[in-house]
Amino acid sequence: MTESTPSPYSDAGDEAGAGPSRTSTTSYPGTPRWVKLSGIVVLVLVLLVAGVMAVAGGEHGPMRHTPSGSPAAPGAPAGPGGDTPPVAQTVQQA
Amino acid sequence: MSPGVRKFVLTTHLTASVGWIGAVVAYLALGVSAVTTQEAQTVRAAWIAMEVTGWYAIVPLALAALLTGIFMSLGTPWGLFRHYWVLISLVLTILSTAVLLSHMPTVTRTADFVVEADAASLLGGLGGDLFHPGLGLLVLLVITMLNVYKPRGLTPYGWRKQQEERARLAQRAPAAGRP
Repeated sequence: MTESTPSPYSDAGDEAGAGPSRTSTTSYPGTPRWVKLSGIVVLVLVLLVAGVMAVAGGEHGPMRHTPSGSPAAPGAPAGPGGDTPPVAQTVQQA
Repeated sequence: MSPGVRKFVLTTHLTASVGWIGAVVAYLALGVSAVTTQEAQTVRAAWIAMEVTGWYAIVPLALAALLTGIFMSLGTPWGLFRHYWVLISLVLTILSTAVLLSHMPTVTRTADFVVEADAASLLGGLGGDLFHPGLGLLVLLVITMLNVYKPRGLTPYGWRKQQEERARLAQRAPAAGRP
């Protein structure tokens, strides 16, 4: 994870960049370009995934395959368009 | 942090982090087999194994990597919020762990379901679980790259701390030079 991994892969000498640098500036040099670029890429990816999920109805993962929305749940809609997946309906009919 | 403790935590963190990636790859392999097989028994076995792998390998390794990572950060000059690569790694690790913990109950429900379901149900569109582990693996690889390359860049907090440290060192230097 964090620096954790950093140190993990590092020796004591790997912490050389952790201390005060010799380049002195009187004001904050600003956010590095790699951080800005990464932020833009992540933002685009998040919007892309959100858009795909919105189009797909927000369902992803195995949740959509499990009988979590079975009619046993009060108020749960049944049949096509409901939360009960086709697989669960098959089992219930069996 | 003493060198001995640091080495021990470093070893634990490295093992947990790399183990986490390996466990996710194993989970993905099971997920792929659950999707591609034509055997109902294989689907059942895959989901049961996915649940066990998730709860007894991925979750403990994720928590161990997160905790040892925080411990390492706080115990070394890197700090937790001073460098962008550390901060981003921390955020990504916390997010990955949170998604993992919120997703695992669904895996358990699915595993319970496949045990009871008949063959037609299992092969008729049960599907697998490739999205979460696939995305998770990608995030873990990004974290690993950040930790290996350690790209430069101080956060505003890190820069402020660095300035304070410089000022402290500058004050000490003249004092040490006096007879």
